[in-house]
Amino acid sequence: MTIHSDQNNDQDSRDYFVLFEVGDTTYGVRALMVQQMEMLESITRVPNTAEFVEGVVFSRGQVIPAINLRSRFGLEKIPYDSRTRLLVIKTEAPLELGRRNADGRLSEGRTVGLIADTAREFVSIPLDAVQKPSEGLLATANCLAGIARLGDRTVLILNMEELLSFHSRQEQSGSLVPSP
Amino acid sequence: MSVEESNNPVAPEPQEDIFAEFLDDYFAESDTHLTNARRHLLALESYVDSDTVELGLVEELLRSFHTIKGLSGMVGIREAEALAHEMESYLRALREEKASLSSEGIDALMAATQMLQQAIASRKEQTPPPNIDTIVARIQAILEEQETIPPLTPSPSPSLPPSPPLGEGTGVRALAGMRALAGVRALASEPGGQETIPPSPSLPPSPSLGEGVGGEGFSQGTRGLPVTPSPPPPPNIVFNNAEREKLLAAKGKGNALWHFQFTPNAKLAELGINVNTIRAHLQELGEIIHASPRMLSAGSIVFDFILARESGETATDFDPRAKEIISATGLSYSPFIPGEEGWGPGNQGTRGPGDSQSPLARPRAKALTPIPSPPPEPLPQPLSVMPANVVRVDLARLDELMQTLGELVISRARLEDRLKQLQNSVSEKDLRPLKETNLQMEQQLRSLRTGILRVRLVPISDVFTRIQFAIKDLARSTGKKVKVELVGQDTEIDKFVVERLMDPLLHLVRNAVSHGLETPSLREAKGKPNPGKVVLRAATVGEMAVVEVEDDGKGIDAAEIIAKGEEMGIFSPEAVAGTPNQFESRVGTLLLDILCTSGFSTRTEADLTSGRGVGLAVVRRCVQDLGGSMSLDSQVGVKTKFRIQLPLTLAIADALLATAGGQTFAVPLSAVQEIVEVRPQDITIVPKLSSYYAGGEGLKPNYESRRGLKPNYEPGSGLKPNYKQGEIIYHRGAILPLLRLGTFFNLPASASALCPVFIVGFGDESNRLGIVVDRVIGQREIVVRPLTDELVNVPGISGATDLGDGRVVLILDVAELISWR
Repeated sequence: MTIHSDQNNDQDSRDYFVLFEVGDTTYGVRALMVQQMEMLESITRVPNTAEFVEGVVFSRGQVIPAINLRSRFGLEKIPYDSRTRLLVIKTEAPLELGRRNADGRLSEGRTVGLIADTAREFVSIPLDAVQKPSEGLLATANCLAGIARLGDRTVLILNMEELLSFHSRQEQSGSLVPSP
Repeated sequence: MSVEESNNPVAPEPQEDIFAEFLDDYFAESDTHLTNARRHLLALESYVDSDTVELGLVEELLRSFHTIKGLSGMVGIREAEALAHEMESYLRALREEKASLSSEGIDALMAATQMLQQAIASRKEQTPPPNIDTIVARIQAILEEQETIPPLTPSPSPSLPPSPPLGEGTGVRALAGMRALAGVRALASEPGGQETIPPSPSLPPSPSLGEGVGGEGFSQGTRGLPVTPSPPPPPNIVFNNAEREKLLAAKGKGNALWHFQFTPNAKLAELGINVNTIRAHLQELGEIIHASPRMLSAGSIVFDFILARESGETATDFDPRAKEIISATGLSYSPFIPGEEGWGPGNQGTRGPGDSQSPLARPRAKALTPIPSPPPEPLPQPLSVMPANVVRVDLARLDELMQTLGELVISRARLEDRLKQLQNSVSEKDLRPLKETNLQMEQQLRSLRTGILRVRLVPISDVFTRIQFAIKDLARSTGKKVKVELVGQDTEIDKFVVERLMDPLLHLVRNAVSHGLETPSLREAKGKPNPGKVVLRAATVGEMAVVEVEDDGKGIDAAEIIAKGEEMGIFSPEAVAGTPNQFESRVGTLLLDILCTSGFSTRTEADLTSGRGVGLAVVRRCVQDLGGSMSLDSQVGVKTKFRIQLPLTLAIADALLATAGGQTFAVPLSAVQEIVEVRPQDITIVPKLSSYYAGGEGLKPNYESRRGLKPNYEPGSGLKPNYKQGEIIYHRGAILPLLRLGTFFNLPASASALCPVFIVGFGDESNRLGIVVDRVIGQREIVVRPLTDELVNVPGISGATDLGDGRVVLILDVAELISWR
């Protein structure tokens, strides 16, 4: 099911992203990973989980975890409103390959919900507009796959694997929101 | 295959699809034969070096391998074909007593069977085929050594049943054949027959056309008395989908199905009887499900009608008025048995086959009619013949059904909620019929669910046989003598579960043989019987299936394991301080936790037969993923017993809903033994009840080991299960540990005078726990959805369910909660 961005080899220069906002920052996630966007309905708390795990939601026959991105990025949680969106993401790459393989299990992509303040845009971004955050540029940049300049806006493109893993949490000390 | 084709005869499938389908059939077919062959080989083994060999077994084996050979040749798997051929040669020599059954011989046959399976699997998995030269040479050597008359005829001997064409060996065709055969045999053995249909005097002699066609599929009995165009051989009626549905519906209503044949001729035409008048008449009698003309070789034409008719009290006959119509139109008729058309397994046994009522046919009908009640209990079956009345169904299709059923269950639950909401605004009179319908639906869904689940159940014997095979192999490679004992092979377990049980059981058995059992010399020194014993046991206990693997080997040395565990830093030493060095169930749990920690192994280096310390962790994980639990019992020097408990059903379960700390949880009903109410003053607080978990500082059972990773509640990132002190009550004279769900889950506390307690557990008292909740809501059928993502994989929660309104309710993992006591 994995579809790579190099499907347009002749153009091979653009990829599609869904943009959403958390705090005052615009983030992007590859459109191919986004299964759907929905209004936030009822969430069931799951006890003893990390504080950024808001709970579980029922989406298309599956029960999936929902992550509060504000909380994940170290911001204050705010109440949900009509603009709040749940982005259902399916990761394509096997996560933590080593661990799962040790179990002798094939790992599949994970399906999780991300709760964003709002999400409205669907854009194509030329790949050469995306910069890899170089090592050491930002201590907090470990969950970024890239930073794109879109007109006069800066879009942070998320690295889902990092975002969804726990191990990065220990290193991550500050908030991810870059200063304007 | 035949079903599919007759279903849609006009649209031939593309070539490759046919081949793919053919291959699927091939895999399924050869699997069946391999399973049989394994069983028979194990049985044959007891004849090693004896003077006689049970020829029936050899015949069965020949049949299996011959079929595999033929099929493999057809799909072009050369290795499988060659292997099967060699085995056949040896078996034929055995049958013709040109060779004797030596232990090398049986070993070679077993090894070749394994290889055969690999060869077939390699095609399935598109991997390179195994090298078969060695094993082929081995068999040939055995043959040459033994045989006095070497030449082997490669062609099957006449007594060998020809290999059945694909798709016919099983399934409905075979069913019809069996039935027919059974019927004829039964007749032969009971010539008197029970005549259920006395000649009806009211039936006027029917015109010449009435020659019956009864006894379809019973050509053996035909004593033709042809008057006019002799009735054609049994037609192969092809139904389209709509007709099929009608047929199903009619069958579902218990209607009788009749097959009418009308042969028009000039005389009838003069009387004004043609196919249209017939059609009209038949419509009076019942519902015409199917009508089609059929050309006969002589150039004449026959119309086939399939009619569904309310059976009434005479399922085998018509009332006088109907008979009048029938006789006046010169129709012939016979009960119609859909099974013959390759359509469903059906239950046609209640109607006697082939009782044509047309007068001319009656003499024959008499001879053939009896059998009013369930078809003759089949021929004395050779113990090994697979029952032929089996329909192979892709498990995925059953899963789809189960899923749809799950959705139905949810929809009905939603309906019930709606009905409850209507309670206040709609009058009881209007509401009652709705409620009744709803109740009825619930029952129907329940029986549908039971039905589907029953279809999914398969005996565990196949798995056991396979494991027996593996044990043989292991015994050979480790040089140990092993006696295998099987108990409860008939235990039926969900197909899905059985398939996933194979690997864990293999692991356990490998452990038992390579770690458990001592070497023969050691056993003798200890005065233990030399063939070591491995017992595989299966049983159904309530809603759970229990499978045990037990060996009478050296047992597990608790002290050694604990020391090793400490050394590896799996848990802190003080956590186990005071652990008695003897085996009680608590210690069993602790040991299991250590053993199941990923990476734990008592061996310093991996050997061939046992894993690299991932074994038991995987076993436990598999079992837990299936919603089951595992326990360990061992006595040093005496035995080691692993016990696996699994729910019989997976997808849909009955659950009790309860709230704790303001949140609703579902508790699987299968684990709930009792619900009691407890007054706060009856609860006794016991500080640090659990000796080695020590307030969460020690080993966290099931939890870390389950996922082999650091818990997701790193300091500060989440909450720990809150379980610092124990509480107990006396219940029925025994101590029952309590767990407050709200507290355990760090939910806001609620004060109530009486708290309901779910007493949950599996089996004996040592495995019980009282879960304290705030309020019991009620019982409900839930559709279990897995909750596997590590973000929400927390102790005490096994899955989730949706209540149909978008809300999710978490399902408690009772086995895990018990381990937290």
